Amino acid sequence: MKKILSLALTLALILSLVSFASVEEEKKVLNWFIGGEVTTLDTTKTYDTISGEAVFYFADTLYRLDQNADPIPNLAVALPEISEDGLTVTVTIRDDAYYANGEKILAEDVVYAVQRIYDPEVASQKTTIAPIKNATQVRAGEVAVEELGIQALSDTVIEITLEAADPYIVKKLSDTGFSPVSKAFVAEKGENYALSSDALLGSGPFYIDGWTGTELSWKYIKNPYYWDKDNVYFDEINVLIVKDANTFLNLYEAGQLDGVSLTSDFVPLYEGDEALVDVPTLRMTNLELGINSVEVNPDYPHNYLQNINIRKALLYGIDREELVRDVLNGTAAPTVGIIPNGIAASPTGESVAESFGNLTYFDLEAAQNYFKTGLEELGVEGITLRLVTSDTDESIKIGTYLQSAYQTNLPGLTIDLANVPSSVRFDEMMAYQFDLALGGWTGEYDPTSYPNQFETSYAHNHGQWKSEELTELINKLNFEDGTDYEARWEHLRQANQYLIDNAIVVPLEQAVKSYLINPKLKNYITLSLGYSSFDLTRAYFEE
Amino acid sequence: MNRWIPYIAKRLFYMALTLFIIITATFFLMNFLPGTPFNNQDRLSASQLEMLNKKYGFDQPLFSRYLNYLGNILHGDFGISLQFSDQKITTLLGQRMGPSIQLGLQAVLFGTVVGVFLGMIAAMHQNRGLDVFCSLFAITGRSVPNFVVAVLLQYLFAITLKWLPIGLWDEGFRSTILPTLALSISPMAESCRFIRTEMVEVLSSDYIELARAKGMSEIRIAFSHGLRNALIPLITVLGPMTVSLMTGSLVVENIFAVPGIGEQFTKSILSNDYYTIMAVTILFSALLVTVIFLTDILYQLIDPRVRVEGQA
Repeated sequence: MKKILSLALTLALILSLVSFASVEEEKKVLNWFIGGEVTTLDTTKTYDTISGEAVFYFADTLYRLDQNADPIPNLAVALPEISEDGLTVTVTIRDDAYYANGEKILAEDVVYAVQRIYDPEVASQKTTIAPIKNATQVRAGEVAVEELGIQALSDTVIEITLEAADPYIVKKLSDTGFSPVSKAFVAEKGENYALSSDALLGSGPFYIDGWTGTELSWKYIKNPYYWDKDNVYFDEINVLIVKDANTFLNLYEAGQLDGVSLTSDFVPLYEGDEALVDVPTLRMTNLELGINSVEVNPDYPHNYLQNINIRKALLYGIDREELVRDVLNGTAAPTVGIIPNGIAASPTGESVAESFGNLTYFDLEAAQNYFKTGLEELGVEGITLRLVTSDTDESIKIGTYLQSAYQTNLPGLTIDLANVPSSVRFDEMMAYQFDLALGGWTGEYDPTSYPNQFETSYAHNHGQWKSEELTELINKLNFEDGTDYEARWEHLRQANQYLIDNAIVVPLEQAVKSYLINPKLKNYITLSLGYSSFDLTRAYFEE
Repeated sequence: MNRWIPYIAKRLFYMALTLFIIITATFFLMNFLPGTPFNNQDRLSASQLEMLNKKYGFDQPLFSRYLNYLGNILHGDFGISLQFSDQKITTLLGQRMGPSIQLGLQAVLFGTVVGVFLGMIAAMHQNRGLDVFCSLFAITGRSVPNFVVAVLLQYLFAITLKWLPIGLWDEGFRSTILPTLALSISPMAESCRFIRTEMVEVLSSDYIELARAKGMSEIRIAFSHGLRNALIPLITVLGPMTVSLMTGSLVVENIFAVPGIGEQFTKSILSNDYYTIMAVTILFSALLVTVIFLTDILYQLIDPRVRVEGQA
């Protein structure tokens, strides 16, 4: 009898194992990547694209952006109601949304999340995402966090009060900064909140598992309580941080990853491959000009860059097509002005390039004439400028190209190249004492941040260009044009034109990220706006 | 035995003093690094920067920060990493040190055993084919950087032959084989070279001739007389090498996607992650002074020529 019983038990065990194994087999798994070490997974603190991408799986957003970057309701039931003056934005969230622990998501959780961004106690490094009322004062500790212009009117209704109307507010509401955070959960975890997956609560299609704070691989597991779980295909997304581009590629080639990011060296190898996917970014690389270094420090050795003809020679004397093609292997696009293509569309739906035209073209003859005139005005035969770049591979490549191209194109110009650690470069720029520096800017949703870099009072106005005209335009953009999109677009055009006409900066290239993605993967969205390059939440494998 | 106590106490005191000097010098020097420890310094507003400095105590005078830091580390609090949003340094290093230490020890062990063996063969066949081969191997091993070896090993054993994983840390011992091999090239070449030189000298000495005359076999001579004497100088080199391998290799760890500590050594400095810089410096120095101390003790135990003062 005992034998029969043990036999039956063994059989049952084997059967259950077999059935378990078959369930395991059915599990739909995506093997994906994260571009580098994550700095934080606290959605109220993320400020870089890597962390932005890593939180995107488990943080539900009020809106999602579609492939055309148009917002579609997600946690919110519909597009927000915006008052006529544009200052009050009312968002209603779903009544059937739950965290991964089964707890209901409430409007007050979104309010709490946004308060955390500005709360000086939390000390978030996230930059201001929207002109929310009292944001600056709350951050400075001048008024209480409850005074921030966001409140819950009920369990599902959120009211946001803005300081100025913002035409991009709906897109900005797709940021994970507006993802709900449970106050009770944060209180329960205390100091350890967001330091490991156990101390993180998923509100989105997945929750995070197996992240201990410093892991190089972890999982996102489907949230069984997610309101739209029927449209979430994957049961698990395994992610991996691989720092060596070659290893990354080997893992993809071996079928262990369904997607990898490519460095520019590898892109030519996959030209024409159906797996190659290019995602334009909003990252602008610029040659910054230390125009007024001599005003900041009277002992500064020269004032060459105060001469507009010298600056214009630098602006028109570089062939951006060649830079992008030969140096960056096509992982970038030549700039058209100081505002990147793709960040916003004109009132009639035109792109930045179509609407503003290409202002940063290569004109060797004009550049040489400008340079000659400049030298005459300065009363010198030739000039030497020091170009400071970071010591990353790409910066060194671009720096070397600029040195050789400028010295060839503009006889009489010598470029001394200094490749230094990025903190050293940054220190020189922030001291406002440098000749040329390879810098750049990545905006998120609003094109105004690009001309704003050169506004007189802005702390990171490295060239210290002072202009009332530009300040006036920026003020109109930030505070007056919120409800008049046509006027706003016109002022943006004027700011762009102004900066180019005065050659305040030399825009070089707009980065494009290249990826290899398993061609079977469908329905994913590539994003240029915001912090994540992909929305994989509704992606699936074509059978 | 009693004579050892004052010696060890003196050595321990000097170790503590060395560490204290290193901590102090590093703490003050790193504050002269340009830039801030905040990753996105290029977009922080002045008020935000002020708020962050206040939160992390960087608004305090340098000397009081130094005293605070000393107090904290005596309580085992090494601070938080500013690159890994507020993770405790002890957690960060604790999680990342395991793989690095494992790889380092495996590499030293494997590299030394093979290297000693090759060195012995070379010495026993001095100026013949095998010697030339071993010496060539030692020179190549010392000249070729380990990341080149790593990429070659990965290509051969993981991609072409598919015997071992390309990288990652998820297949237990199998995951450690290729990185260990890549890292072991240097200790292998080093010990091969050392043992060969030492043994050639030992094997030509009078007492070995006597052993030969007494009819002792070459193998026995090599092991019981030659190797024993030739190993002593190797200990001096092995100690620091073990420490440097245990504290991780940036490139090899990156190539095999090993979650080790190698990168923290360079990245923390480049990103002004103050407390991580301090912690990795303390870790490295503490390991190094300990290993030097142990080497000295070991030396005294095995080499009769070196003795603690006062000992016969």
